[in-house]
Amino acid sequence: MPKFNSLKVWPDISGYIPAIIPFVINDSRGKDVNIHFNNCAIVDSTGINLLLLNILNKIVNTKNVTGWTCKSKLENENIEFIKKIGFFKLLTKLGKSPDFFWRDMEEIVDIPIETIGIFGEKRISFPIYLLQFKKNENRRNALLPFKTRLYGLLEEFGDIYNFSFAHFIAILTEIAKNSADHTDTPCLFGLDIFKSYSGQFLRITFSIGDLGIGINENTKDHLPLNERARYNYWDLTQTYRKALQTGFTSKPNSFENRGIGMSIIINGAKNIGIKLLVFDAKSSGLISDINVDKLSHNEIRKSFYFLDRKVGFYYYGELNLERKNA
Amino acid sequence: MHEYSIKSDFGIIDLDDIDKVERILEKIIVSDVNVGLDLFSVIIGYPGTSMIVDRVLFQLENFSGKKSLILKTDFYQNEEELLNAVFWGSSYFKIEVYNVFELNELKRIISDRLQKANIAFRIEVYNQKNNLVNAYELLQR
Repeated sequence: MPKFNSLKVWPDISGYIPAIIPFVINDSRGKDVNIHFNNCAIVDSTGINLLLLNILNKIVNTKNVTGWTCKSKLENENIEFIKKIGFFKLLTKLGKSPDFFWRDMEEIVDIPIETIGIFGEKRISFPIYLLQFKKNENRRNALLPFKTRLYGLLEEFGDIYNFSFAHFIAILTEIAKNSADHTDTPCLFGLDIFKSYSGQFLRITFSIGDLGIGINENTKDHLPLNERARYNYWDLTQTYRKALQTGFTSKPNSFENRGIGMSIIINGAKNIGIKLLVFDAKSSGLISDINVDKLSHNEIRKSFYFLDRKVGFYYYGELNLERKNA
Repeated sequence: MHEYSIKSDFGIIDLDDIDKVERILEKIIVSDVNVGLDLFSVIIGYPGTSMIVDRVLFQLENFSGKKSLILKTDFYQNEEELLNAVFWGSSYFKIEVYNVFELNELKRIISDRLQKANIAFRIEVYNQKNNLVNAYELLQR
Protein backbone atom coordinates (compact mmCIF):
# COMPACT_ATOMS: atom_id res chain seq x y z
CA MET A 1 0.00 0.00 0.00
CA PRO A 2 1.57 3.36 -1.02
CA LYS A 3 2.01 5.99 1.70
CA PHE A 4 0.52 8.82 -0.28
CA ASN A 5 -2.59 9.62 -2.24
CA SER A 6 -2.10 9.66 -5.96
CA LEU A 7 -4.29 11.78 -8.21
CA LYS A 8 -3.63 10.79 -11.79
CA VAL A 9 -4.82 13.49 -14.14
CA TRP A 10 -6.46 12.29 -17.35
CA PRO A 11 -4.80 13.12 -20.69
CA ASP A 12 -7.58 15.51 -21.68
CA ILE A 13 -7.91 18.54 -19.37
CA SER A 14 -10.21 20.54 -21.58
CA GLY A 15 -13.89 21.43 -21.66
CA TYR A 16 -15.94 19.83 -18.91
CA ILE A 17 -14.03 16.55 -18.79
CA PRO A 18 -12.03 17.35 -15.60
CA ALA A 19 -15.29 17.85 -13.70
CA ILE A 20 -15.88 14.10 -13.82
CA ILE A 21 -12.37 12.79 -13.10
CA PRO A 22 -12.93 10.52 -10.06
CA PHE A 23 -10.23 11.61 -7.62
CA VAL A 24 -10.42 9.73 -4.38
CA ILE A 25 -8.41 10.70 -1.33
CA ASN A 26 -8.02 7.96 1.20
CA ASP A 27 -7.11 9.16 4.71
CA SER A 28 -5.28 5.92 5.46
CA ARG A 29 -2.78 6.70 2.69
CA GLY A 30 -1.05 9.49 4.53
CA LYS A 31 -1.02 13.25 4.50
CA ASP A 32 0.45 14.02 1.09
CA VAL A 33 -1.30 14.16 -2.24
CA ASN A 34 0.72 13.55 -5.38
CA ILE A 35 -0.81 15.01 -8.51
CA HIS A 36 0.47 13.31 -11.67
CA PHE A 37 0.46 15.20 -14.95
CA ASN A 38 2.55 12.69 -16.89
CA ASN A 39 -0.10 11.90 -19.47
CA CYS A 40 -1.48 15.38 -19.76
CA ALA A 41 -1.95 16.07 -23.49
CA ILE A 42 -4.84 18.46 -24.11
CA VAL A 43 -5.35 21.55 -21.96
CA ASP A 44 -7.38 24.73 -21.87
CA SER A 45 -8.36 27.33 -19.27
CA THR A 46 -11.92 26.02 -18.97
CA GLY A 47 -10.73 22.50 -18.23
CA ILE A 48 -7.85 23.44 -15.94
CA ASN A 49 -10.23 25.56 -13.89
CA LEU A 50 -12.52 22.55 -13.41
CA LEU A 51 -9.53 20.37 -12.58
CA LEU A 52 -8.45 22.90 -9.98
CA LEU A 53 -11.93 23.03 -8.44
CA ASN A 54 -12.18 19.25 -8.45
CA ILE A 55 -8.80 18.85 -6.73
CA LEU A 56 -9.40 21.71 -4.27
CA ASN A 57 -12.69 20.14 -3.28
CA LYS A 58 -10.83 17.00 -2.29
CA ILE A 59 -7.83 18.65 -0.64
CA VAL A 60 -9.69 21.33 1.29
CA ASN A 61 -12.42 19.00 2.44
CA THR A 62 -10.14 16.23 3.64
CA LYS A 63 -8.92 16.90 7.17
CA ASN A 64 -5.82 14.73 7.15
CA VAL A 65 -4.29 16.13 3.98
CA THR A 66 -1.54 18.59 4.78
CA GLY A 67 0.16 19.13 1.44
CA TRP A 68 0.50 18.23 -2.19
CA THR A 69 3.16 17.75 -4.81
CA CYS A 70 3.06 17.49 -8.58
CA LYS A 71 4.84 15.19 -10.98
CA SER A 72 5.24 15.52 -14.69
CA LYS A 73 7.62 14.70 -17.48
CA LEU A 74 9.88 17.71 -17.80
CA GLU A 75 9.40 17.85 -21.57
CA ASN A 76 5.65 18.18 -21.27
CA GLU A 77 4.99 21.62 -22.78
CA ASN A 78 1.47 21.59 -21.40
CA ILE A 79 2.89 22.00 -17.91
CA GLU A 80 4.08 25.45 -18.93
CA PHE A 81 0.57 26.28 -20.06
CA ILE A 82 -0.87 24.97 -16.80
CA LYS A 83 1.55 27.17 -14.86
CA LYS A 84 0.71 30.27 -16.87
CA ILE A 85 -3.01 29.72 -16.55
CA GLY A 86 -2.53 30.00 -12.77
CA PHE A 87 -3.24 26.44 -11.65
CA PHE A 88 -0.28 26.10 -9.29
CA LYS A 89 -0.54 29.65 -8.05
CA LEU A 90 -4.16 29.16 -7.06
CA LEU A 91 -3.64 25.66 -5.72
CA THR A 92 -0.99 27.15 -3.45
CA LYS A 93 -3.17 30.05 -2.42
CA LEU A 94 -6.38 28.15 -1.81
CA GLY A 95 -5.29 24.60 -1.10
CA LYS A 96 -3.03 23.39 1.61
CA SER A 97 0.31 24.86 0.72
CA PRO A 98 3.16 22.67 -0.41
CA ASP A 99 6.53 23.19 1.13
CA PHE A 100 8.62 23.77 -1.93
CA PHE A 101 9.02 25.78 -5.12
CA TRP A 102 5.43 26.04 -6.36
CA ARG A 103 5.23 29.24 -4.34
CA ASP A 104 7.26 30.84 -7.15
CA MET A 105 4.16 30.64 -9.29
CA GLU A 106 2.79 33.67 -7.47
CA GLU A 107 4.89 35.76 -9.82
CA ILE A 108 3.18 34.62 -13.01
CA VAL A 109 1.92 37.52 -15.08
CA ASP A 110 -1.82 37.52 -15.55
CA ILE A 111 -2.13 37.82 -19.35
CA PRO A 112 -4.08 35.81 -21.96
CA ILE A 113 -2.19 32.97 -23.61
CA GLU A 114 -2.48 32.67 -27.37
CA THR A 115 -1.79 29.42 -29.17
CA ILE A 116 -2.23 28.28 -32.76
CA GLY A 117 -3.67 24.83 -33.46
CA ILE A 118 -2.57 22.42 -36.21
CA PHE A 119 -5.30 23.68 -38.54
CA GLY A 120 -4.34 27.31 -38.01
CA GLU A 121 -7.12 28.00 -35.57
CA LYS A 122 -6.30 30.45 -32.81
CA ARG A 123 -7.04 29.90 -29.15
CA ILE A 124 -6.97 32.61 -26.53
CA SER A 125 -6.97 31.24 -22.98
CA PHE A 126 -7.50 33.47 -20.02
CA PRO A 127 -5.78 32.83 -16.71
CA ILE A 128 -8.14 31.54 -14.07
CA TYR A 129 -9.91 34.42 -12.34
CA LEU A 130 -10.39 34.19 -8.60
CA LEU A 131 -13.46 35.79 -7.08
CA GLN A 132 -13.18 35.93 -3.33
CA PHE A 133 -15.96 37.53 -1.35
CA LYS A 134 -15.16 38.82 2.10
CA LYS A 135 -17.69 38.70 4.87
CA ASN A 136 -19.79 41.86 5.18
CA GLU A 137 -18.37 43.17 1.93
CA ASN A 138 -20.67 44.65 -0.67
CA ARG A 139 -20.60 41.75 -3.08
CA ARG A 140 -21.81 43.87 -5.97
CA ASN A 141 -18.63 45.93 -5.68
CA ALA A 142 -16.52 42.79 -5.54
CA LEU A 143 -17.98 41.76 -8.89
CA LEU A 144 -17.30 45.05 -10.67
CA PRO A 145 -13.62 44.34 -11.51
CA PHE A 146 -14.61 40.88 -12.77
CA LYS A 147 -17.19 42.37 -15.11
CA THR A 148 -14.90 45.17 -16.27
CA ARG A 149 -12.23 42.62 -17.10
CA LEU A 150 -14.66 40.44 -19.04
CA TYR A 151 -15.96 43.47 -20.88
CA GLY A 152 -12.43 44.40 -21.94
CA LEU A 153 -11.80 40.86 -23.15
CA LEU A 154 -15.01 40.35 -25.06
CA GLU A 155 -16.02 43.73 -26.42
CA GLU A 156 -14.00 43.41 -29.63
CA PHE A 157 -15.82 40.19 -30.52
CA GLY A 158 -19.21 41.87 -30.12
CA ASP A 159 -18.38 44.10 -33.08
CA ILE A 160 -17.40 41.21 -35.35
CA TYR A 161 -19.63 38.31 -34.35
CA ASN A 162 -23.33 37.89 -33.59
CA PHE A 163 -22.63 38.17 -29.93
CA SER A 164 -24.56 39.97 -27.18
CA PHE A 165 -21.46 40.13 -25.03
CA ALA A 166 -23.03 42.41 -22.40
CA HIS A 167 -25.81 39.88 -21.88
CA PHE A 168 -23.25 37.08 -21.80
CA ILE A 169 -21.41 38.93 -19.03
CA ALA A 170 -24.70 39.56 -17.18
CA ILE A 171 -25.36 35.80 -17.14
CA LEU A 172 -21.86 35.00 -15.87
CA THR A 173 -22.32 37.66 -13.21
CA GLU A 174 -25.62 36.15 -12.14
CA ILE A 175 -23.88 32.78 -11.73
CA ALA A 176 -21.15 34.44 -9.67
CA LYS A 177 -23.78 36.26 -7.58
CA ASN A 178 -25.44 32.94 -6.84
CA SER A 179 -22.11 31.64 -5.70
CA ALA A 180 -21.49 34.71 -3.54
CA ASP A 181 -24.91 34.39 -1.97
CA HIS A 182 -24.69 30.76 -1.04
CA THR A 183 -21.15 30.17 0.03
CA ASP A 184 -18.14 31.99 1.44
CA THR A 185 -15.78 29.77 -0.50
CA PRO A 186 -13.79 31.19 -3.40
CA CYS A 187 -15.31 31.19 -6.87
CA LEU A 188 -13.07 30.35 -9.85
CA PHE A 189 -13.57 31.18 -13.49
CA GLY A 190 -11.84 29.94 -16.65
CA LEU A 191 -12.44 31.04 -20.24
CA ASP A 192 -11.21 30.12 -23.72
CA ILE A 193 -11.94 31.65 -27.10
CA PHE A 194 -11.38 29.55 -30.20
CA LYS A 195 -11.27 31.35 -33.52
CA SER A 196 -11.44 29.38 -36.78
CA TYR A 197 -8.63 29.85 -39.29
CA SER A 198 -10.88 31.82 -41.63
CA GLY A 199 -12.19 33.91 -38.75
CA GLN A 200 -15.74 33.01 -39.74
CA PHE A 201 -16.51 31.12 -36.54
CA LEU A 202 -15.85 31.73 -32.88
CA ARG A 203 -16.36 29.33 -30.03
CA ILE A 204 -16.30 30.41 -26.39
CA THR A 205 -16.08 27.95 -23.54
CA PHE A 206 -16.06 28.75 -19.85
CA SER A 207 -16.30 27.12 -16.47
CA ILE A 208 -17.20 28.62 -13.14
CA GLY A 209 -17.59 27.00 -9.78
CA ASP A 210 -16.98 27.17 -6.08
CA LEU A 211 -16.21 24.86 -3.18
CA GLY A 212 -19.67 25.18 -1.64
CA ILE A 213 -22.35 22.56 -1.22
CA GLY A 214 -24.21 23.40 -4.42
CA ILE A 215 -27.81 24.19 -5.28
CA ASN A 216 -29.15 20.76 -4.35
CA GLU A 217 -27.99 20.87 -0.72
CA ASN A 218 -28.64 24.60 -0.38
CA THR A 219 -32.22 24.23 -1.51
CA LYS A 220 -32.82 21.39 0.92
CA ASP A 221 -31.36 23.46 3.75
CA HIS A 222 -33.78 26.33 3.10
CA LEU A 223 -37.04 24.55 2.54
CA PRO A 224 -40.10 25.83 4.36
CA LEU A 225 -40.84 23.92 7.55
CA ASN A 226 -43.77 22.04 6.06
CA GLU A 227 -41.60 20.62 3.30
CA ARG A 228 -38.59 19.60 5.38
CA ALA A 229 -40.21 16.34 6.41
CA ARG A 230 -39.89 15.20 2.83
CA TYR A 231 -36.18 16.10 2.70
CA ASN A 232 -34.94 12.55 2.61
CA TYR A 233 -37.21 11.60 -0.25
CA TRP A 234 -36.19 14.40 -2.57
CA ASP A 235 -33.84 13.78 -5.43
CA LEU A 236 -31.93 16.44 -7.30
CA THR A 237 -34.70 16.86 -9.87
CA GLN A 238 -37.08 17.93 -7.16
CA THR A 239 -34.66 20.36 -5.52
CA TYR A 240 -33.96 22.03 -8.87
CA ARG A 241 -37.67 22.28 -9.50
CA LYS A 242 -37.93 24.15 -6.22
CA ALA A 243 -34.86 26.31 -6.85
CA LEU A 244 -36.19 27.39 -10.24
CA GLN A 245 -39.52 28.60 -8.94
CA THR A 246 -39.78 32.37 -9.06
CA GLY A 247 -39.70 33.77 -5.57
CA PHE A 248 -37.90 30.84 -3.98
CA THR A 249 -34.61 31.90 -2.49
CA SER A 250 -32.26 30.23 -0.09
CA LYS A 251 -30.91 33.68 0.81
CA PRO A 252 -33.96 35.86 1.48
CA ASN A 253 -32.03 38.88 2.73
CA SER A 254 -29.58 39.04 -0.10
CA PHE A 255 -29.60 42.11 -2.26
CA GLU A 256 -28.36 40.20 -5.26
CA ASN A 257 -30.73 37.27 -5.17
CA ARG A 258 -34.45 37.53 -5.02
CA GLY A 259 -35.45 34.12 -6.23
CA ILE A 260 -35.22 34.93 -9.91
CA GLY A 261 -31.49 34.45 -10.42
CA MET A 262 -31.73 30.90 -11.72
CA SER A 263 -34.41 31.87 -14.25
CA ILE A 264 -32.22 34.72 -15.48
CA ILE A 265 -29.33 32.28 -15.90
CA ILE A 266 -31.31 29.56 -17.64
CA ASN A 267 -33.50 31.68 -19.89
CA GLY A 268 -30.66 34.04 -20.68
CA ALA A 269 -28.39 31.14 -21.66
CA LYS A 270 -31.13 29.71 -23.83
CA ASN A 271 -31.89 33.02 -25.51
CA ILE A 272 -28.34 33.82 -26.52
CA GLY A 273 -27.40 30.25 -27.40
CA ILE A 274 -25.20 29.15 -24.51
CA LYS A 275 -25.16 25.43 -23.91
CA LEU A 276 -24.99 25.43 -20.13
CA LEU A 277 -24.25 22.41 -17.99
CA VAL A 278 -24.35 22.28 -14.23
CA PHE A 279 -22.52 19.69 -12.14
CA ASP A 280 -24.07 19.28 -8.73
CA ALA A 281 -24.30 16.51 -6.13
CA LYS A 282 -24.08 13.27 -8.13
CA SER A 283 -25.51 14.60 -11.36
CA SER A 284 -24.95 16.79 -14.35
CA GLY A 285 -27.75 18.71 -16.02
CA LEU A 286 -28.04 20.51 -19.33
CA ILE A 287 -29.95 23.33 -17.69
CA SER A 288 -30.13 25.55 -20.76
CA ASP A 289 -32.56 22.94 -22.11
CA ILE A 290 -34.99 23.29 -19.22
CA ASN A 291 -38.24 25.09 -19.92
CA VAL A 292 -38.56 27.25 -16.81
CA ASP A 293 -42.19 28.02 -17.63
CA LYS A 294 -43.07 24.31 -17.51
CA LEU A 295 -41.46 23.17 -14.31
CA SER A 296 -42.62 19.58 -14.18
CA HIS A 297 -40.57 16.80 -12.67
CA ASN A 298 -40.33 15.17 -16.10
CA GLU A 299 -39.23 18.37 -17.78
CA ILE A 300 -36.29 18.73 -15.42
CA ARG A 301 -35.42 15.06 -15.21
CA LYS A 302 -34.90 14.70 -18.94
CA SER A 303 -32.10 17.28 -18.75
CA PHE A 304 -30.18 15.59 -15.92
CA TYR A 305 -27.77 12.68 -15.96
CA PHE A 306 -26.66 10.53 -13.06
CA LEU A 307 -22.88 10.40 -12.56
CA ASP A 308 -22.79 7.97 -9.67
CA ARG A 309 -20.52 10.02 -7.41
CA LYS A 310 -20.33 13.47 -5.91
CA VAL A 311 -18.83 15.89 -8.40
CA GLY A 312 -18.75 19.24 -6.57
CA PHE A 313 -20.59 22.28 -7.91
CA TYR A 314 -19.58 23.77 -11.23
CA TYR A 315 -21.03 25.29 -14.36
CA TYR A 316 -19.65 24.61 -17.83
CA GLY A 317 -20.82 26.61 -20.83
CA GLU A 318 -20.10 26.88 -24.52
CA LEU A 319 -21.26 29.28 -27.16
CA ASN A 320 -20.76 29.03 -30.92
CA LEU A 321 -20.83 32.24 -32.89
CA GLU A 322 -20.68 33.26 -36.53
CA ARG A 323 -19.27 36.41 -38.04
CA LYS A 324 -21.78 39.15 -38.77
CA ASN A 325 -22.70 39.59 -42.42
CA ALA A 326 -20.65 42.30 -44.04
CA MET B 1 -37.19 62.13 -30.40
CA HIS B 2 -34.08 62.60 -28.33
CA GLU B 3 -32.16 59.35 -27.86
CA TYR B 4 -29.54 58.85 -25.17
CA SER B 5 -26.97 56.11 -25.60
CA ILE B 6 -25.85 55.11 -22.14
CA LYS B 7 -22.61 53.68 -23.45
CA SER B 8 -21.65 56.23 -26.10
CA ASP B 9 -22.99 59.38 -24.46
CA PHE B 10 -22.10 58.62 -20.85
CA GLY B 11 -19.43 55.91 -20.99
CA ILE B 12 -21.37 53.51 -18.79
CA ILE B 13 -20.95 49.81 -19.57
CA ASP B 14 -22.25 48.32 -16.34
CA LEU B 15 -25.44 49.49 -14.65
CA ASP B 16 -24.45 47.58 -11.52
CA ASP B 17 -21.82 50.25 -11.03
CA ILE B 18 -24.02 52.49 -8.91
CA ASP B 19 -21.34 55.10 -8.25
CA LYS B 20 -20.92 55.73 -11.96
CA VAL B 21 -24.66 55.71 -12.56
CA GLU B 22 -25.16 58.31 -9.82
CA ARG B 23 -22.52 60.51 -11.38
CA ILE B 24 -24.19 60.60 -14.81
CA LEU B 25 -27.79 61.02 -13.66
CA GLU B 26 -27.51 64.81 -13.52
CA LYS B 27 -26.29 64.81 -17.11
CA ILE B 28 -29.52 63.31 -18.41
CA ILE B 29 -31.50 66.40 -19.26
CA VAL B 30 -34.80 65.66 -20.97
CA SER B 31 -35.74 68.35 -23.47
CA ASP B 32 -38.15 66.44 -25.70
CA VAL B 33 -41.46 64.75 -24.91
CA ASN B 34 -40.31 61.67 -26.81
CA VAL B 35 -37.22 60.05 -25.36
CA GLY B 36 -35.20 56.99 -26.36
CA LEU B 37 -32.81 55.14 -24.05
CA ASP B 38 -30.28 52.98 -25.83
CA LEU B 39 -28.86 50.31 -23.51
CA PHE B 40 -27.09 48.29 -26.20
CA SER B 41 -23.86 46.64 -25.03
CA VAL B 42 -24.59 47.73 -21.48
CA ILE B 43 -24.75 45.18 -18.67
CA ILE B 44 -28.22 45.52 -17.14
CA GLY B 45 -28.05 45.84 -13.38
CA TYR B 46 -30.38 46.78 -10.59
CA PRO B 47 -31.17 49.29 -9.32
CA GLY B 48 -28.86 51.14 -11.74
CA THR B 49 -31.19 50.60 -14.68
CA SER B 50 -34.26 51.80 -12.79
CA MET B 51 -32.35 54.86 -11.54
CA ILE B 52 -31.82 55.98 -15.13
CA VAL B 53 -35.39 55.16 -16.16
CA ASP B 54 -36.67 57.04 -13.08
CA ARG B 55 -34.59 60.08 -13.98
CA VAL B 56 -36.15 60.25 -17.45
CA LEU B 57 -39.71 59.60 -16.25
CA PHE B 58 -39.58 62.22 -13.47
CA GLN B 59 -38.42 64.79 -16.00
CA LEU B 60 -41.03 63.80 -18.57
CA GLU B 61 -43.68 64.57 -15.97
CA ASN B 62 -42.69 68.21 -16.26
CA PHE B 63 -44.15 68.32 -19.75
CA SER B 64 -47.85 68.51 -20.40
CA GLY B 65 -49.74 66.26 -22.80
CA LYS B 66 -48.63 62.90 -24.14
CA LYS B 67 -45.07 61.77 -23.57
CA SER B 68 -43.20 58.62 -24.51
CA LEU B 69 -40.14 56.62 -23.58
CA ILE B 70 -38.63 53.80 -25.65
CA LEU B 71 -35.95 51.66 -24.03
CA LYS B 72 -33.82 49.52 -26.36
CA THR B 73 -31.73 46.66 -25.07
CA ASP B 74 -29.93 43.52 -26.20
CA PHE B 75 -30.56 41.95 -22.80
CA TYR B 76 -32.52 39.19 -24.53
CA GLN B 77 -34.35 37.93 -21.47
CA ASN B 78 -37.89 36.71 -20.90
CA GLU B 79 -40.51 39.30 -20.03
CA GLU B 80 -40.75 38.64 -16.30
CA GLU B 81 -36.99 38.62 -15.76
CA LEU B 82 -36.46 41.62 -18.00
CA LEU B 83 -39.09 43.75 -16.28
CA ASN B 84 -37.83 42.81 -12.84
CA ALA B 85 -34.27 43.64 -13.85
CA VAL B 86 -35.29 46.99 -15.33
CA PHE B 87 -37.65 48.12 -12.56
CA TRP B 88 -36.21 46.67 -9.36
CA GLY B 89 -35.55 49.47 -6.93
CA SER B 90 -37.51 52.08 -8.89
CA SER B 91 -38.53 55.03 -6.77
CA TYR B 92 -40.81 56.27 -9.57
CA PHE B 93 -42.89 53.09 -9.44
CA LYS B 94 -42.20 52.48 -5.73
CA ILE B 95 -40.91 48.98 -6.43
CA GLU B 96 -38.86 47.76 -3.51
CA VAL B 97 -35.63 45.98 -4.22
CA TYR B 98 -36.49 42.93 -2.15
CA ASN B 99 -39.79 42.22 -3.89
CA VAL B 100 -40.33 39.74 -6.66
CA PHE B 101 -43.66 40.44 -8.33
CA GLU B 102 -45.78 38.16 -10.41
CA LEU B 103 -45.63 39.41 -13.96
CA ASN B 104 -49.22 40.66 -14.09
CA GLU B 105 -48.92 42.46 -10.77
CA LEU B 106 -45.69 44.13 -11.86
CA LYS B 107 -47.24 45.26 -15.14
CA ARG B 108 -50.28 46.62 -13.33
CA ILE B 109 -48.15 48.70 -10.97
CA ILE B 110 -46.18 50.10 -13.89
CA SER B 111 -49.14 50.84 -16.15
CA ASP B 112 -51.17 52.51 -13.37
CA ARG B 113 -48.36 54.95 -12.70
CA LEU B 114 -47.68 55.62 -16.38
CA GLN B 115 -51.38 56.19 -16.98
CA LYS B 116 -51.47 58.94 -14.35
CA ALA B 117 -48.46 60.64 -15.91
CA ASN B 118 -49.69 60.10 -19.49
CA ILE B 119 -46.38 58.51 -20.51
CA ALA B 120 -46.30 55.73 -23.08
CA PHE B 121 -43.47 53.28 -22.37
CA ARG B 122 -42.18 50.63 -24.74
CA ILE B 123 -39.27 48.24 -24.23
CA GLU B 124 -37.68 46.82 -27.38
CA VAL B 125 -35.50 43.74 -27.10
CA TYR B 126 -33.00 42.86 -29.80
CA ASN B 127 -31.12 39.59 -30.27
CA GLN B 128 -27.44 39.15 -31.07
CA LYS B 129 -28.18 39.67 -34.77
CA ASN B 130 -29.69 43.06 -33.95
CA ASN B 131 -33.15 41.84 -34.91
CA LEU B 132 -36.09 43.07 -32.87
CA VAL B 133 -37.38 39.95 -31.12
CA ASN B 134 -39.77 41.35 -28.54
CA ALA B 135 -41.49 44.61 -27.78
CA TYR B 136 -43.32 45.19 -24.52
CA GLU B 137 -45.87 47.99 -24.40
CA LEU B 138 -46.13 48.98 -20.75
CA LEU B 139 -48.51 51.70 -21.69
CA GLN B 140 -49.58 52.16 -25.27
CA ARG B 141 -50.07 55.42 -27.00
